[in-house]
Amino acid sequence: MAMERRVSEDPSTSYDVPANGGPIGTQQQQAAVASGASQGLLQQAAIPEHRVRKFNKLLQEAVVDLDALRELSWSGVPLSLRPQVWRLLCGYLPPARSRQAQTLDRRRREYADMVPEYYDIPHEERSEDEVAAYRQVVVDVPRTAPNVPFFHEPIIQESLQRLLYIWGIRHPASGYVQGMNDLVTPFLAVFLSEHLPGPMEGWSADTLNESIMLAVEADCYWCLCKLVEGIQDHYTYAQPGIQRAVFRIKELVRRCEAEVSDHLESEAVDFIQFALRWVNCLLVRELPFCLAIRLWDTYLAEGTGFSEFLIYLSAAFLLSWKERLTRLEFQDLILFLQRLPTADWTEAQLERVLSEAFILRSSYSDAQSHLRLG
Amino acid sequence: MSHKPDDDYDYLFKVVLIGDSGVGKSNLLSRFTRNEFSLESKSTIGVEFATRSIQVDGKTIKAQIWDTAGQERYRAITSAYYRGAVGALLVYDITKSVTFENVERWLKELRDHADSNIVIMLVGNKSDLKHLRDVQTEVAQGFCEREGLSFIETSALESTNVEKAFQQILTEIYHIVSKKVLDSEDNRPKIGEGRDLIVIDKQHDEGAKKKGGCCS
Repeated sequence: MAMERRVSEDPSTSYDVPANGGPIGTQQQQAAVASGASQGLLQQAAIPEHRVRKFNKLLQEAVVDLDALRELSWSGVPLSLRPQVWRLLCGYLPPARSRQAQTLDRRRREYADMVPEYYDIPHEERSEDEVAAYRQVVVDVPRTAPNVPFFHEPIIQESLQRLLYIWGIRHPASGYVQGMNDLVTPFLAVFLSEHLPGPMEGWSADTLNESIMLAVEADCYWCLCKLVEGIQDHYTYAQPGIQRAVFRIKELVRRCEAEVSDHLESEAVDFIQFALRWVNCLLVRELPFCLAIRLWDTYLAEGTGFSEFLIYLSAAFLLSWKERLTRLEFQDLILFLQRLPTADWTEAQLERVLSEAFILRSSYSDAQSHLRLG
Repeated sequence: MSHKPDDDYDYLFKVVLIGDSGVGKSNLLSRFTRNEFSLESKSTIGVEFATRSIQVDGKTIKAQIWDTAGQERYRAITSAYYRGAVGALLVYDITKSVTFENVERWLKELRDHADSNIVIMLVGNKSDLKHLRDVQTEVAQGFCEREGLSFIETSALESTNVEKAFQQILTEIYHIVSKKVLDSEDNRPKIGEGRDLIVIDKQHDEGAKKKGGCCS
């Protein structure tokens, strides 16, 4: 059995945390990280102290060495350092420490200015497309991460609604596409964690005020922009980027596990039937929320190449159920693939798949480059 | 326990669930196939799949149902699932007239991508929200008469008419396929000959355990 017991996402489970979100200091939070205590929805397995020291050392340099930070972050970022590390990895914060505070200030102000410009306007002043976009966001926000109760606090819902709508308006090539709400959630949890002490289950929205929330929202907005920057064509008309990614996942599986791809083919299961959501939501939907955050460490460490890594990760993810898949017939295959049993997955299990993906990439990336369809 | 009732069917019908985002397609499906309802279900990305078998005239009809994402952006991908579908439940939300106004666009989608003789049923969902009603039953009914569609109002939340909706469309499809009533029912001018429908008849597939022919 695993050494640690994971806290389930079930909100009915009781946690050893003051229900009113009592004042738990950062020190305590840090200690929890070091001892590997369970953090519930923001849980994290113990990160060895020497790794934490390396992170601290890198972050304290006058100019942060981003390559070194990427390499270190790939295998997971310590909980308390995540907000800062993620901002750096996204390219949202400059590596020169002397410029960071100023940049953050400016970007947050820029975002704050967009709110009255795009969002706080009477409905009549919106174009037909804008009204449709607004409606779509309003329908989706309440359906964001239903098993993370904190995201359903009114102040958070409002914030999500604003930032997704503004994102869509400012990116007319794709606009807001269903599932993008899922992509914001890791950022939201991590940037909120700077203001709310202790595990997420104990967070109270009462301690959040408008100005804190607007800063968190701005960080989420800019980081979402950076994340989606390289994968815009996943979300444009007919979603060519996703179709291409799904095709490549299929080809990769065929090359490394013909048995699995032959079986899926003989059962008439098409990769688009399950992998569309994987690629569209970057696998967030397939994993418990706490692991999505861990997954983001690796994506952000990958930088602009993360969508390429997603191909290998998706193949490795699929092949982690190899034995099971080859025994199932069409109907059970589809049902299984659209609800994979990952609810109890630990970070160690996710990391195994990440490693598999890394190995797949090392073995196939060169071999495949000349076969790529563009 | 060697008998798998799920595999024992006379007909397999592919049905699609379409309509605007947030009208309750996924909950209609989960209510029908698993008797589950969730106020906090996630949006559907692409398509989702479920099945259930029902009895019609002593025959076992297995419905293979594809639930689709409502957002327009997904339509290029979801419309591929219309191929081979013999039925479509076109869902709107009775509390949001815009979702009813969009029904015409969805019908066009079906005309463009589905078999011409697909059986279409218009479903006004969320009938439990009486105080918020935005689309009058008579208006929807009138529309369906003009368009030659079946019509029903449902509540996936209260489990009202969900069973009936699926039962009704599957029965209608079955009757067309089995040609039992094809000649006597001329109130379905939009539906063509049953033989044009794409149906997987398990007995023909397997050539075994013939339970008795369906076509005289």
